[in-house]
Amino acid sequence: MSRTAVNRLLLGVVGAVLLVAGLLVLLGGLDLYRRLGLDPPSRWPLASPDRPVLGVRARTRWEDRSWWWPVVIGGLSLLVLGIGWWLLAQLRRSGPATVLLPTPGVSGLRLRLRTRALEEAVESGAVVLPEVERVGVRLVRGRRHPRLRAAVRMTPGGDPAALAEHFETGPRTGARASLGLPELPAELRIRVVAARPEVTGRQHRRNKRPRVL
Amino acid sequence: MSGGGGEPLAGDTPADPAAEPAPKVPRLRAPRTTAAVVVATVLLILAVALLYDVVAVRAGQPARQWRTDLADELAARHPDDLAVLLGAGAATLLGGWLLWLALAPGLGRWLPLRPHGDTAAAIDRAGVAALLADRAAVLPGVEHLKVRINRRRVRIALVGPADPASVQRQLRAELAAVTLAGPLRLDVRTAGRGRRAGAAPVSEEESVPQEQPVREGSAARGSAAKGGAPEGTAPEGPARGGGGE
Repeated sequence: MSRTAVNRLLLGVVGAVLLVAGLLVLLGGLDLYRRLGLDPPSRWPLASPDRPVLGVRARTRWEDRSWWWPVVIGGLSLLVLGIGWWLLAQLRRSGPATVLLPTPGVSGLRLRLRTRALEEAVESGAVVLPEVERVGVRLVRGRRHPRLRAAVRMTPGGDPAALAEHFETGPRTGARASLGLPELPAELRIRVVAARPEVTGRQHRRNKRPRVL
Repeated sequence: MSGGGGEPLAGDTPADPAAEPAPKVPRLRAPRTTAAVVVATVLLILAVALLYDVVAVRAGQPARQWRTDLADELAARHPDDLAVLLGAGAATLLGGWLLWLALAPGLGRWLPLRPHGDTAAAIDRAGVAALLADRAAVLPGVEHLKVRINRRRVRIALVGPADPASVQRQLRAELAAVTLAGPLRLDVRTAGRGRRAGAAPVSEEESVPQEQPVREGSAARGSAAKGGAPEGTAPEGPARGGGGE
């Protein structure tokens, strides 16, 4: 599962837990069950504003059972490990360090290319394309194959469709073919350098902007 | 799409623009790294503190002050207590916001282009605005303009004697050259001075020489049909079409 999917799933779980807990307390505290004529089941938590949020009896209900403390401590330990892994996954570099290249016809040889070398090769191929001002290329993990992620700054008045076509037929195809990779998909993010910063969007709040002399 | 190639030409041309965006290009999805770091850090601190204290109590130490305080407060306060309600409201809002972060795609400023082979390109919204502004600024009769863009539409307010319909036609060609994967509406209107007086003459002498009335009429029709909502174009459309005939 990709990092994006893991992050979104876990954020969703945490958010759902907070949302449900908050809503339960709000429903009970504002006595909305009675006002709306709802009849919660008998074991429903926080159904009435007259009982404490977490009473002593509820908190210590299973304290004398033999399984309670091992389960609490084990569960908390798993939680700490899992969250620690989640946090470390954010800090890790998002791409592989090397790319394994196919070696057809040669057995017993594992050929690896440093990711940075591939990134630099694609960068130097892309920066000489017409209308390109600046390029940054990263190799990130993809679903099955690694994928190139290129951020390009295009000169004003450029043609983004032509730029994408040039990138596809030039550096990307060249890198894929020369490495003999079966697939090397790419993402291209194009920004445009504004020729006249005073007329491009975002600055629409005032008709006349103050001039600083 | 290839099946449509055998159809008669008259049916083919209108079908083409509708058929081209058919391969649905997905929106970019943000990885949500920052939110994950913040949430994971907070949860890790809470879980480690709780685990440490639970183990310490099991080992015979007294519980920490914060845990006994928390347990006492939770046992004493009722759900209709103001502090509890405020806390629950905050938790609800925070939970809803985290759910929103989990579900919403994010990266709204990147508009995907139609794919070129294995390259999935996207252009940034301000970049599209800059391209349109650069193109419009060199058109005759445009003195000043503002471009506002969101995911669905571009709104251009121009000052000057230029005819908004012809500016819109030129900009639509520029926008089509960007080959965005999704539709982006384009509304051009005149703002401020130079709105009525200079509009007709300048556009007539400056636009493409032949077939002037036809393009003028079709452009006015297009702008009236397209941007029906904005105040600027709706009244102007019929008046302009009548003048051309």
